[in-house]
Amino acid sequence: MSDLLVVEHLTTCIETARGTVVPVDDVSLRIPAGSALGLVGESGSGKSMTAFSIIRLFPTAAARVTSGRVLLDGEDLSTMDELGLRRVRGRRIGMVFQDPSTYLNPVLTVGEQVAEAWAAHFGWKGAWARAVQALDQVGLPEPAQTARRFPHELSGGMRQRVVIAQAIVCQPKLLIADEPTTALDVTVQAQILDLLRHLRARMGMTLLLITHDLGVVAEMCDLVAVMYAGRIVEEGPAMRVFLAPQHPYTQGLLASAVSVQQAQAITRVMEGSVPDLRAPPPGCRFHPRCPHAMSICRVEVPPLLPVGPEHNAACWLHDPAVVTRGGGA
Amino acid sequence: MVASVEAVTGFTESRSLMDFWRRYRRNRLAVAGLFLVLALSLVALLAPLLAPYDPMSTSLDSLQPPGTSRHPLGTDDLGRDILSGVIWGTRVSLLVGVTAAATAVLIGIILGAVAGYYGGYTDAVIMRLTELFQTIPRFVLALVVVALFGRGLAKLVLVIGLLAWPQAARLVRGQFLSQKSLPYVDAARALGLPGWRIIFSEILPNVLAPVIVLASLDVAQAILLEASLGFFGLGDPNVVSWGGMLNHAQGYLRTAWWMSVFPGLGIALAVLGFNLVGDGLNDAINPRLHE
Repeated sequence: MSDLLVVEHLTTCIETARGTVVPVDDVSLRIPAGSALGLVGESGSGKSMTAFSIIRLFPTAAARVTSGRVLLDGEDLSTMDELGLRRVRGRRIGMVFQDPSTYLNPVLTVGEQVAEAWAAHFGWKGAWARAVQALDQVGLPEPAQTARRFPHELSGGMRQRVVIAQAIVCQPKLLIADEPTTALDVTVQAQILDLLRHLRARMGMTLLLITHDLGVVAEMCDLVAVMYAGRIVEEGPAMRVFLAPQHPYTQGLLASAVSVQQAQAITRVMEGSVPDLRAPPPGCRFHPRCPHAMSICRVEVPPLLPVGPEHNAACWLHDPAVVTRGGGA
Repeated sequence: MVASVEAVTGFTESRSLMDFWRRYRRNRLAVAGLFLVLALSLVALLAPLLAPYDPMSTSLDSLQPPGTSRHPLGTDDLGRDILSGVIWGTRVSLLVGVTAAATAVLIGIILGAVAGYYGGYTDAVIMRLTELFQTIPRFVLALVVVALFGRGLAKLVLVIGLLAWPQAARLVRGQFLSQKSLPYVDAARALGLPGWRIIFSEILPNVLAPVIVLASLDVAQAILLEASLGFFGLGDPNVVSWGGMLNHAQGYLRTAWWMSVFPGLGIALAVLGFNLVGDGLNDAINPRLHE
């Protein structure tokens, strides 16, 4: 199976008044065509910035990709000009955002907004019919009537369906969904996930799902990559990572999720929070919160080390040389 | 959640228009202004039917005071009917006012939107140009341009339009600056929409309300400027305008007051009407401002 999306050593910087922040630091990912990868991490870990870096579009002018490559179907997006990128966005990579109420234009009907997404790449001829068809595909009732409504006339779940319709109207091969259910009610969340799974199967789309919800990843994804403070700390097949997490951060993440679900007497919550990215800790960025931290962790960045078939973790615990030396320098 | 869905699905476009009218109606003066504007528009449209005489045709009945059945508002020194002049003048004033304001707002929208959306160097250049135009005394430049390039309705419209755009440009730029960082703009960019589509079909509809308010105030300004130019003898000599009538009345201020009072009243009413409508629209769009 060939890879639809390959991200190699992607690094993105944001210039701020108080120094440079590196929200995406040497991130590499591969997603085989037709599969789904879940990118998980706490808020502030750089998940969303990774998505923005892939389509090279940032909500702030201060952000820019400083190095690395992004290959879509073998084609290098990092060397494309703005016009080339515009033809990729929406047409070959669809994007679903977190909060459907702010990501829709309040003064245009939802039909116009979906039609606009189609017309941006294929012209206005037949755009309205195509928009109604897309609204039907995302399961909106009476799509022809709904198309004439404004976003404020729809519920949150319906709005998210509209956002998804915009993303899929051009039938992109890759769908990037950034926290697609976070802003929704729990019951609606399940419907939206169902819809995404259904669309993916029917249209043969590859999915990059960004979420902090491990349950969502377990349900939706074949692969998982765990991100912490701008770096990938563990990656592998979803089941293997969930059943046998190898990075202490992943272990902590899973433990806190599981303990909440089972309502155990002792809830295991990870101490501390994501470090300030303006001044990240040296070495492994997780070492201040890590129960197994060794002296080498404070100095050297651990590379991604193989811990199983297709399964890697960026932790010195998995370097036999370091472990036998008893924690290195 | 379900209840709120049902509560909002009753909304339609016409419903929000009704809401708007309800808010507009609260301002009595604005309603009066609207009627004034509608009445003047009707007069302008029906001028050939309403005017008893050809406003240009002279007669031997010169300098007749108002109140006679043949000339209710009197006649001027050449025996031209004042009422007919005022009626035809409405047509010229409104035509010039509306088209000049439309020109100004159109230029302002394009330049302001481009400056606000693209920012950086583009913004700097356009804004310096805007400031340049704002520092030039409007009326003096209008005098110079009309004196150089001649008089004529189309030229008047262009001159006034070219002079009045900076205000609209600044307003639209400010609105674009605040809108362009909103998530729906990022979403549009992520869908691959070209820049001009994002500017004109995504952002512009969101900022139109204050622009419409400004446009109605601009109409009043343009009417005033056109009348001023006419008063200085720089109006189109081939049509009857309020400013032109005032110009002609200068020599008769003491002997035939009706020659200046009635066209002057026309200017005052038109300017007042459009200003009241502008204020009313502003109040209706930002109802919290005056509570």
